Amino acid sequence: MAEPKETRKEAGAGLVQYSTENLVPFGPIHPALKEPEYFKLYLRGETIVDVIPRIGYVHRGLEKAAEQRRWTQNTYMFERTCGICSFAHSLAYVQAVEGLTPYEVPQRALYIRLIVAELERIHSHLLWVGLLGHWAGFDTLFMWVWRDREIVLDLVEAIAGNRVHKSLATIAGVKKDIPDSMKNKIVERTKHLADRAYFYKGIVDTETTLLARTRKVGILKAETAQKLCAVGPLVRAAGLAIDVRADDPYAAYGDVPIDVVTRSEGDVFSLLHVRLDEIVTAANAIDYAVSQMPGGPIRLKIPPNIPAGEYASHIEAPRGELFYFVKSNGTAIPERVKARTPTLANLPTALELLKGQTMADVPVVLTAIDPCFGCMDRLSFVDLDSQKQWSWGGEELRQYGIKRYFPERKT
Amino acid sequence: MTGLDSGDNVDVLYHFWKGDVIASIRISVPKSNKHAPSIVDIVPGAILYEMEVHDMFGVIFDGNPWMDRKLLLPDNYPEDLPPPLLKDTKAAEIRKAVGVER
Repeated sequence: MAEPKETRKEAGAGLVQYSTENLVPFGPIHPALKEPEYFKLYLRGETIVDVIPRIGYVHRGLEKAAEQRRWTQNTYMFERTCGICSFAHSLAYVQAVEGLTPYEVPQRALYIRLIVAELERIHSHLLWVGLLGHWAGFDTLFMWVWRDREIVLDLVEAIAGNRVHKSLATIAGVKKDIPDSMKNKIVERTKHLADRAYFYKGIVDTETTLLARTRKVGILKAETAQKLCAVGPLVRAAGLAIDVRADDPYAAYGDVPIDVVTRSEGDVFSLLHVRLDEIVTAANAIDYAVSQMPGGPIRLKIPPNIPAGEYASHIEAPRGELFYFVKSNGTAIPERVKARTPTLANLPTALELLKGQTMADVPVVLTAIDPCFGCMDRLSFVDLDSQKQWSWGGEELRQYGIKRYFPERKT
Repeated sequence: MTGLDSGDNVDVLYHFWKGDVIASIRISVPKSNKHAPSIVDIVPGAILYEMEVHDMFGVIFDGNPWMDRKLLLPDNYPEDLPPPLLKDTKAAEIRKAVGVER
């Protein structure tokens, strides 16, 4: 069969010669609840040769909105940037604002911040392990892990009063105290979760489905991670010990020992290990912080006007380094607030990882960066040779991936 | 990378962190001629941040291969409306232009 030759001009990409190369638009419209993003995947046969991202479908203009709201109101608005790392967002924001003020945050508040931040990390990592199990075709793991996730959500609810948006951090303190009567419960439950993390590590090491789908898939080298400014568990799985909690301690991290978990392989399998190990280190940190928590007040009352100046703060959110920059003009309303989320930082790396992978690996590799957009739903395919079009939902793509790896399995 | 509207200029702040060093570098471009050199050839990971500042402040980074695309702004953002995060652009105008409010 003669190869059809076509030329196509993609904006900015120059001329691309076509032979059996296909364009797969990935997203953005889908009926499910997951967030919409759009990736144009260029395929040669089964292999991805290029990816072009188009994000911003859920861009709500928070940075503009922040310039019309008071400093305290913004704490709760930025918390709503993301449901999973909601406390991390409000924490990074209030730390940046506190940098402009002369007040010293009470020690007890710093410990409470650490405990809730680590609980959030456990929650986020559990959620990710479950989702990876789902996309890899091992739904039992998904069911188990999401049952354990309820434990940590209940714990967060007991502390903050809310399961998802904690609304706990406030400028110069926290809003709710952890009573002594709750300490035992926190330690007992987090210990249980650490035990579960060990149990899941045993499963991950032996389960053939996970081994086949994650080993040597999406390998990230340390140099590439550094070049593309990747953050969080992704770089730690590639062997770089970069963790804001240890390198530039904030909250009570200076007093509480944190082990930075690293692996050297850089594939999705080592990411599973890094995240499961971090659940254990988070549980240890919570255990230590609960026993060492000092007494005293939990917040200061401060005036609504924040002194003029500029300040930047960064923290280690579950997904990686989260960065906030604030500028005040001395009034009760900020001049500028800027947020840099870890998913945006990891996106160039994800695009690089996708190149050279097969289409069946797209869900697993994209999930590997723990994207804040889980958009696997609705793929439309364009076969440029025959001009035929068809669509697949996320579920069909998942089934396709499972069939490709385990053809004998009945679904 | 942070963009800042400072009156006649747009300031761009580059925040770097490596090892023990944390540095913020500030450059200033006049609003009449918003051009700045790209750092993508030195720091490849900066490509999306430069696109973000381009979307939100209209600064053109010479040398960034994706300057002709939008990253965050909607496709129907009008050409004649100034970039959204400049202080002269009112939030109500943006809402009206992109069809959130009629």
